[in-house]
Amino acid sequence: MNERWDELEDSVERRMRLLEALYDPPASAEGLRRATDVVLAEARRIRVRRKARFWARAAGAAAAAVALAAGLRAPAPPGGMDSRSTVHPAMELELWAIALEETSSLLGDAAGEREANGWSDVVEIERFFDNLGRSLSMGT
Amino acid sequence: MGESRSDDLQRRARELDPQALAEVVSVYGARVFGLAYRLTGSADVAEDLVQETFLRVVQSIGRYDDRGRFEAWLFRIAANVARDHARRSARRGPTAGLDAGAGGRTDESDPADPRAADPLENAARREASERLAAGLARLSAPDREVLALRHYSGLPFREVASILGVPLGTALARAHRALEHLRKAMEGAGGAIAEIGEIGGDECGDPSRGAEGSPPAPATGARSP
Repeated sequence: MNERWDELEDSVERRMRLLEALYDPPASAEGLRRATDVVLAEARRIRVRRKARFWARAAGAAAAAVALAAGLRAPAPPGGMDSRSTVHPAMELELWAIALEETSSLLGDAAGEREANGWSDVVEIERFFDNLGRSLSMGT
Repeated sequence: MGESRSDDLQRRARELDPQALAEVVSVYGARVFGLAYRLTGSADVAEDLVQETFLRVVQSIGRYDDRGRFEAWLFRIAANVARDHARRSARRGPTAGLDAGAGGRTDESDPADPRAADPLENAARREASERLAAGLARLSAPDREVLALRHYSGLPFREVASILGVPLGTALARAHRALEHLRKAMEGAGGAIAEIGEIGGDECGDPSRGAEGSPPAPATGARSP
């Protein structure tokens, strides 16, 4: 069966040479330039969104680390954990993590929203994130 | 484009490198335009679809699985964009056909070879192209789609069939039937046009006589499966 498909495919491929005589109107340089502009603008928006999410997560993680360190250093209440508390400490930490995730997402979306304000704004946002990354890496 | 250079281009495009993305548009733009033009019949619409295709490419390139062929992935998007357009157009009702008759923007698509001094030869080339374009425009949408996708993507029929979501036999049957229509469209023309038409001569069985997707009729001298 496969051999028959192969033969038929070869035959059709040979016949496809018929289309070599077909001439197309060329894509206009202006049209391709517009497509390139659209692609580059979209790529920049995606990069900014990624960077915003990255920094929001980094900031969230730093805040979480500070909160956790503060919690560990705080003296335990006399008599141990409050038995009337309805939230387990592990659950509290998880809720805290969820809240951070939500905040990161909101910050990322907010950066995405700003892209609607125009090209120059997105350029500025990207430059801001790049500078932030550079200044932090220089400080280490 | 060499394989390693193509791999490098895809890798940089996935990283949203502006230069790589501009190169992707530059390398594939004309072929995507050709496909869109043959599927929609309008150069203006085709330009919009080129834009839409590359926009979708950049939006989804992060999810592109580099185990497949980049061309197959890109032309799948282009075919989907053209299909979406066709669906929208069908809802809006019939529109005008090809820009300049069935031959397209003839002012910009002069098939005459400037190196050929023979005006008769140039006239024959022009006529051949116009006949082919007219023949293509008369094909059913699925038949035209399979030919155009194969022609502009350069992908083998197996991948074309996969893009269109049809069995290989269906794609080949459609292509065979479409090429037979085109060959007939070229018949009756003299000189160079007739020669071009002969390329489409029946060398094999006619799979379009059977149901789409069913095994092809045995070709002359073909071995039984």
